[in-house]
Amino acid sequence: MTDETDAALVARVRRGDRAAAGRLAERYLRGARAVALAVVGEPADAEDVCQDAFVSAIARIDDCRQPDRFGAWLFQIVRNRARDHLRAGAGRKVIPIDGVSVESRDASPAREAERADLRGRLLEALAELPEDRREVVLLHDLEGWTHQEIAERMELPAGTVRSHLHHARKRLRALLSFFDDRED
Amino acid sequence: MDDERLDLSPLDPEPARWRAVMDGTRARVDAVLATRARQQDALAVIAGWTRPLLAAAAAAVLLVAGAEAVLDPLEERRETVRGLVALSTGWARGAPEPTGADLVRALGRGEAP
Repeated sequence: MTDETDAALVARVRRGDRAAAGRLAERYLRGARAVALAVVGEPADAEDVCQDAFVSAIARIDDCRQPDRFGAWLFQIVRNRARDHLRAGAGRKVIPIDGVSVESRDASPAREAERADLRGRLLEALAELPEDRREVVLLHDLEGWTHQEIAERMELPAGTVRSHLHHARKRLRALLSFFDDRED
Repeated sequence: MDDERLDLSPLDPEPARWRAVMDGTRARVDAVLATRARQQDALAVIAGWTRPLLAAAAAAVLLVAGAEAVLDPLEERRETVRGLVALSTGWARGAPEPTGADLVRALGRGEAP
């Protein structure tokens, strides 16, 4: 990923280095959002959860027993926070297509509507997958992580990651095709 | 076909919103680290006081223990001298000549043979 190791950054954070915490945020916050999204199913909630989880991880940085595996530790905090969020709320949400917010003020209304439609379909299809497969496909195809990076952060064998990814894509394609047919 | 990357870009966070999430995270992390630094400073002050206090306590214990070690033998010697003085003054006043057993007893070296 980048130059300085997680262990070195964690050591700096323990000494109160804010820049090191910022580097960890740049490295992991997007992935944490994907992990949260795999559980809560709603992007805005996922963003709240990943921020809370990251801040909590920094507050408890002395509890990180294996600083070289900060990512795996953080993701476990994210999953726990996301499940707490679901328990506190009304369950996993799938935003109906009409309820998806406008993406960008620069895009045309037609483009925005198309993007919102795609987003709604993707969230609906993702909701049909098991949580671990959602997490793998989001980290790989949305965040661009490698199989090896996902395997390390999810503490899974690389072969299992490949298998989850294969099955997740296959199921998502089938569901998206089904949604297209349903619309027609 | 199934192993081609899916286009999930519609799930990307809206850039302005994501910047706000990053900025908010950094601000909260800064606050957490500032609190942590204050706590560590307070602990350092306490530790700074604890060390001299512990050193003073250790010195006091050493002084007391040393004084006892010095004073106890002196007290023993004083008793011995008192015993020998009593023995010799008694003999001078006409008491019988002290035996070896009397001397050993006065020296505090155990029972007379």
